[in-house]
Amino acid sequence: MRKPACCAAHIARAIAILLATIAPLAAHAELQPEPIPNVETLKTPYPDSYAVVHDFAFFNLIDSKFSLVDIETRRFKGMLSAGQFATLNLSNSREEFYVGETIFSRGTRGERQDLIAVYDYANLGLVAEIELPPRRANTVINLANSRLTEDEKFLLVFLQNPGTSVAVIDLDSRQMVEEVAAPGCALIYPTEKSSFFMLCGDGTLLTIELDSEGKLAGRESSKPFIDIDNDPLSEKSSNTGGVWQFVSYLGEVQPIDARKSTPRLGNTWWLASDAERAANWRPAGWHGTAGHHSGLLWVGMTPDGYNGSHKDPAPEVWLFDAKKRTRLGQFELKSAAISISVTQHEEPYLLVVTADATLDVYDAMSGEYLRSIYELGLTPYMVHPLSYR
Amino acid sequence: MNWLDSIAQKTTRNVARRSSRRGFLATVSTLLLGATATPLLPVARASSAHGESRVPNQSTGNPEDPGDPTQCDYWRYCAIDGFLCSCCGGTQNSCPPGTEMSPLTWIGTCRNPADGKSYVVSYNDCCGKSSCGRCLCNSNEADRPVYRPSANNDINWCMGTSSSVYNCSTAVILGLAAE
Repeated sequence: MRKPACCAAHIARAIAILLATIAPLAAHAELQPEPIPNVETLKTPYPDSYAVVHDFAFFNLIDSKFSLVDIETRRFKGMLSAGQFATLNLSNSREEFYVGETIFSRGTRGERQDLIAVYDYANLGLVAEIELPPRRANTVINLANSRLTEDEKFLLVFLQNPGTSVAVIDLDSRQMVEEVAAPGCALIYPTEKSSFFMLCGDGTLLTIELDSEGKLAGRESSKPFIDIDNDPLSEKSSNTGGVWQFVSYLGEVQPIDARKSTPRLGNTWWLASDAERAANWRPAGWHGTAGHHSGLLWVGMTPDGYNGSHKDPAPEVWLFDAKKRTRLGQFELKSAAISISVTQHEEPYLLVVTADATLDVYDAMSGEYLRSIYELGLTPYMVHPLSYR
Repeated sequence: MNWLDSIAQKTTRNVARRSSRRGFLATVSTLLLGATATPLLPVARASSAHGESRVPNQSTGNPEDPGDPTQCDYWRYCAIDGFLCSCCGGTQNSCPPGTEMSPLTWIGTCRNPADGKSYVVSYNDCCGKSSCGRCLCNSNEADRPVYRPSANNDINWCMGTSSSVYNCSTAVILGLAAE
């Protein structure tokens, strides 16, 4: 039998009780108004899993960028914007990024302005601008265009227009304190304290010593040792625990010990065997070397070497003990390398900026592919691990 | 300009890239579309039955100067590195309207297949407008490191111009090379 009166009353009472019960809950779950403005900040010190990927912005050169990513979580943490032919240096002790850039007051025209923009780690915010002479070297990405001195007191910036010199910037006062003329020489490779060396067009090396104020204190040229015409040393070298490892176009390694202010040439050795060289295995990659403080060296290699292949993407990376001059591994990459770098962990990651415009992360010792980070610009050419030196 | 554009190459396609720009453009297309997209193959389209090329074909009009100046394999481009001005409103030896030709440059020596003679070619950049972005070509055959600047193609040669912003590259004949 139907009992409408009875049921209707029950239902009405039940609904009333239910509403009374859930009403406070509903009010509690209501979304609250949110603050505006609202901008993220980053925790410092950064975890050592951060890295910065440099998009050269080939197709819109005046608007390049740097993306800060976490290579373990694949998270994008933020970015820095930059003008054309930018450089990046970073100091974990100062928790600052130094972006070298060339801009024009009216976009593509107007007054040329060259500067170092200083950004802090916590906000990725501009904290200072250091003016440079409007002669920064404007080249496709080259790590040796700007470097911190070993003691992190000075930032050194290569100038070229087309005469060459090095600007010395005091990072405490954030002022340019010296310009060291270096006719015929180029690029910057730090040695001990505030000293550095450059490579020169006559096949020599020029050592520059700075005093505590950043002023020129000494210079010395080596004898010629680079065969630029027949088998030049690539300028895309990497440091393994105080030794700069230069690799020639054909694959001969020239170590330069930089643990004292006057660099010392080490004995040369070959990356590949005679048979491999005969089969055209050669070093490759835009920046095809990576170094670890322990003395390990990774080099991008191609089996398709020819006269002019030295900047081709590298389908393999070979791992060497640069002290023992022995090969420890030979890794086939998921995607060919434009540039490589390595973290300074005891169990390092190999970071590969690929021809597919991704950042690929590998176990640097085993060569095991781990993960990729995508959408870091159309033309990413370089990666800087936060532990980079 | 003289660029690295090796990001736009794949070693597996070196042979194709060196003999034509097919490998190069295919990779650029892959790059522009992102890693997960299906690559565009412009040359495949160019050679399709419909016949429309990626850029209109050009000729110097001089049988002694053979080839198509919009193609990477045009003889003068043996050491070029950058966007071809022929695809950007200029020609193989002139800059696009409104740009400024750099007086400083790097040079190559290329062999003209018509007369079999080698010519010194000056790769003057055109400056003052942003990247043209068309017909990117790269050859590193004679390239030497930055510390030998006259033979280096990583350097932005928009020097001595009112703006150092790079637009595209020309290939101007300077004269016969000394044999």
